[in-house]
Amino acid sequence: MKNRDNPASRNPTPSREFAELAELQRALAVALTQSKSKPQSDELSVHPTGQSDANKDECLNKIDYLQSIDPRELQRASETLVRKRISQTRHLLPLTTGALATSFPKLFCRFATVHHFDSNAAILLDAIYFVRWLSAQNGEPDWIIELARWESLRLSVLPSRFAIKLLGTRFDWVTWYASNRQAPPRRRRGLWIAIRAGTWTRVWRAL
Amino acid sequence: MAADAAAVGGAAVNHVTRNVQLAKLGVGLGLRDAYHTDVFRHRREIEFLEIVADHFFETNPSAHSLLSLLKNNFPLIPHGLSLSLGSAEGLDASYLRQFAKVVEHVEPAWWSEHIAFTRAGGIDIGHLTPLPKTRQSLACLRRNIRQAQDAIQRPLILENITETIRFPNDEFDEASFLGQIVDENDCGLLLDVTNLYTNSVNYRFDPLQVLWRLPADRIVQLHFVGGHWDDGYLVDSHSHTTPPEVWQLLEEVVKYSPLCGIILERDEQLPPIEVLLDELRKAREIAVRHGRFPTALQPANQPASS
Repeated sequence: MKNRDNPASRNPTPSREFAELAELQRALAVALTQSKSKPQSDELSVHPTGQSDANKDECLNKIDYLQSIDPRELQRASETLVRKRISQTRHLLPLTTGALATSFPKLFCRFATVHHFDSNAAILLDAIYFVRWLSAQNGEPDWIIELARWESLRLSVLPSRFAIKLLGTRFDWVTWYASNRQAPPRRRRGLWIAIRAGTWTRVWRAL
Repeated sequence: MAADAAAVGGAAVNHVTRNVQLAKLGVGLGLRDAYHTDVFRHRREIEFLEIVADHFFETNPSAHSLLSLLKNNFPLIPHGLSLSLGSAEGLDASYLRQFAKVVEHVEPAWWSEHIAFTRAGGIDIGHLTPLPKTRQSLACLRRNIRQAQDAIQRPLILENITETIRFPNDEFDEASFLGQIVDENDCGLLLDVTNLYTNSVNYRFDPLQVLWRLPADRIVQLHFVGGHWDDGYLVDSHSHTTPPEVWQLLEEVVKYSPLCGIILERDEQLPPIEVLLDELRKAREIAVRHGRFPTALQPANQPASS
């Protein structure tokens, strides 16, 4: 995914004419996304700038802009946002979310309480970081965790123009993918490579 | 066909004036990945496609070639999700530039965005968030819409959203706000019938009282689909077939306005294409019954090789 996060173009200073509207919108954005914390910035250099972190702190102090809004409406709006993120993540991780079945929305809601990405690549980051978050949880079968990592391998190279990623697996995903996917996959070790060069991206089994 | 349609609207004209000046595209579908093959199989039953412009921003060759393939087979309408026309901090120049490239490639009869903001204080909310219905919002929209119209020289139509939040300091009601926006900026209205119905249920007003105060000659296109109920609230989830109440409202809109296009906008719990085609037929029957579209279906473009 092309990085379109040029702070100069993405965070222009609102004119004085719209200062009040800008304050309201900032406060609302903070309230809806509840950006309490986010993953450490790493090779996915698509996080917000430090400037916007400062803005968030400032906004939290100005949350009284929202005092007049029914808190149930804010809550519902926030839930609508999470529902949308769930839907988008399903599209990017169809196998993992299918394997998680009804527990996926519940898991994602927990994930969403601590992660919100302020970026045009947010949809992609949601999927990638959901997999990382899921890997750190205890409770899902090993094969689902591995499936999530395998499925997100291609996604994980997309934010960069040039990237190589390796992933060792213990299960036979190719056969499983081609089958009806009802049962856990059979064991078969494999090494997968994902390469991104410009707009060209490929994932294949090396061993 | 897309180019012809644009010519009707005036390729060199960047503002919508009235719906009578735009091409009648008929009844179509909001394109989703799951239906990429199906829409070609059924292209005689789908008069045009609405594409999410954001999905074609990447410069990778596959997105570009898919766009070309679609353009050669269907009239296309690019629909934006994140231009954030209501942002007090202004438009994202990079996003606007990429949107303009998609529109330039597609040469549509019009393009569309939402009356909402999706970005504030450096945060991408990731969802359409309503604006307070105030003079300041109108002024902010005016500034941003003008910038968008300067960058994209095609008629712009604006969509009403489902409102999850209402602001106590609103200075306008829904109809006045929408009417002022489209009139002041010489835009068309993309009236999402489901959103209007959803707002009317959740905020307890008569949708017809809103409809009848909207400028009929500005309504260019409709969206319709079904949502779901959650704890007493109607959620615009685009996840179900269209309920009878929305069909009734859609018929009222069709009676009221000489609109140019109707799009079924299904996003969730995607059914087999046949289910959607049934809904398209029903919408078309309504439009034909009220003389909005010709009786004969306007088949989408034939591939160049046929």
